[in-house]
Amino acid sequence: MLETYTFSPYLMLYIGAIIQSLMLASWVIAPQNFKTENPKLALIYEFFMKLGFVTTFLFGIVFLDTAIFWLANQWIYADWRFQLPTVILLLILGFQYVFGSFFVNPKLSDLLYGSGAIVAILIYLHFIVPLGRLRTTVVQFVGVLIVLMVVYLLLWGILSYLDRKSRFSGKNRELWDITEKAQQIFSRKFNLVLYIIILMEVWLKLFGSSLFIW
Amino acid sequence: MREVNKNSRSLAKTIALKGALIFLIIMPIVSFFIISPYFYLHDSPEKKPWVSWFNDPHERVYISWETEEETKGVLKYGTDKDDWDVEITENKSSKIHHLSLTGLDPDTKYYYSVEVEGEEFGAGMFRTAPSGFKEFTWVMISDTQQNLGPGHHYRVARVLEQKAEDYSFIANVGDIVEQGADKRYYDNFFQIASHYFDKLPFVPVIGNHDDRSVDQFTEYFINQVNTSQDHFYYSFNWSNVHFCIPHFAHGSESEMTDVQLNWLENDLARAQDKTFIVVMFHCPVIGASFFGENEVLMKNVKPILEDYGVDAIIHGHEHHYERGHLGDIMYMILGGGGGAFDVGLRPLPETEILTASPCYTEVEAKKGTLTFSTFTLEGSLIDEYTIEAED
Repeated sequence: MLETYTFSPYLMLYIGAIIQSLMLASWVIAPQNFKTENPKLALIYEFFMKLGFVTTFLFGIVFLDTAIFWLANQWIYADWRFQLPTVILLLILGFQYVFGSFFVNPKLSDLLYGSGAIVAILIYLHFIVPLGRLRTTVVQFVGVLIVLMVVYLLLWGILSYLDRKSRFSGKNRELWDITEKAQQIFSRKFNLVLYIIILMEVWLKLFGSSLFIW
Repeated sequence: MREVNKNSRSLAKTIALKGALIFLIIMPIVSFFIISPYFYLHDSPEKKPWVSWFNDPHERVYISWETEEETKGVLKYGTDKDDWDVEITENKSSKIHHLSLTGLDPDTKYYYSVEVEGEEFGAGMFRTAPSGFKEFTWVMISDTQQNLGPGHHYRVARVLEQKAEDYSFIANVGDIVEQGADKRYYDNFFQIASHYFDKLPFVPVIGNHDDRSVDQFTEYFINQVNTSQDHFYYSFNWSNVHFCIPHFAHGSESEMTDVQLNWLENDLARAQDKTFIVVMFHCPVIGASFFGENEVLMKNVKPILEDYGVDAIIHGHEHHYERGHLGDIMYMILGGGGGAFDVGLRPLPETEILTASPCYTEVEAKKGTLTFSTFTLEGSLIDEYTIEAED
């Protein structure tokens, strides 16, 4: 057993369901590839897009981390039928959020933000939290996400500034673009079905059951 | 003008459609938290009989039940359910009924039947504690509270219903209900627990959620050891095991009263002739989840437990299963009895096994060993640990 901190996959799946519901709701409000000539509206749209990317990306890392460490640490002791559906759904959700946020058509700066956030989360969860023996709180969890958001926005600011400097701007080009392929795989239909499956699992969990236990 | 009206109608239609879609998407999530309690919390004041005690289960137990209206009940009991030995008629009407059965023979199976207004209200059986050594098995669960949705206590109850006759009694290590001051939670708990209450006497341990109304707790679980201090503690012996149940629901300074700590010391001192001492209190001294190490219990209670050679301490509070060693004392956290699981897990150096799954723990007491086995509800063994008696 690794002496490290692992979030509960059950809790993470509730959060995943909330994020997924907000994402689907946002698609209803603002269609994919939304374009406007109104500069104010464009700015608001861009802000919410960025916020959405950062949120899904950070939670994506936490979801993947939870699923991987849960598999490595805990689940062998209990019933796989209870735990496995939640863990599989977290892996799918986490992969989609991390991959979709920064790795579809990334610039060098995107990879830098992404790697920085991943390292910060891993250090916090697996090196800093295990140092303590006293009470852990939900506030700490929310706190770490706020700190990561701030770090991200700072990095974004600095790199945007550097981006304007000619020396960095030349290097900070798009590294690859697989948007079309990604949109085919992680389509709206896929996300709606995924949301329904997650909802079923979350509801069943509230009754102490799961998709594999009826 | 007509064009403007047409556009407005079209916009209103779009907004209504999008609003309805958003409502449909978000509603299932919101309903977890807001609506779901209304599906499982409803007033059902009648509670079928249950058996408990607070001192000597060799010769005295209590049978309790609750009726919707104030009634007088008739309790019949004996060793043969076709030929009752004793019939007691209550002399005053009440809703919550407690009848004391005294002068019972040790290690004897008794049957009972409760009649209300001429009709059978409930029936069941129990076994008294043996006066000397006899192998026995008891079962433990904890945190049957419904803190997020209906939880899985009902699934635990179905499993225990099938196995009830294998056990002498069931201990619930606290947070029996989510809101100790809200009677509807007790209604729901008793309804689910009625699956096993007719075959298994109940050993309650008070938890921090039950503690929100000690008055409500003691209305259901009778205890005359300490009624003036707002604390619910007691102890009893069964075969070669002494069970000590202090009131450490929060692990807070307010629970470290001289009265309770003196009682604990005296009780453990008197139990030194028993092969094993098991102490059950809700708040863990250390745990791998949310609450971590409790400094108050570490400072005030752990030294007493060590001084008197306690073999095992059993807790709830944290919603996962955990076993480890606190010095020489084995500790267990049995938080898989019904409530939603913890936010996260952080194994401590003392932790030996840890998981989050619905589960129950049975304990087999033999002459020189106590074997703790924890199972999932599907019957898979999660953990087994044996404590051997010191020579």
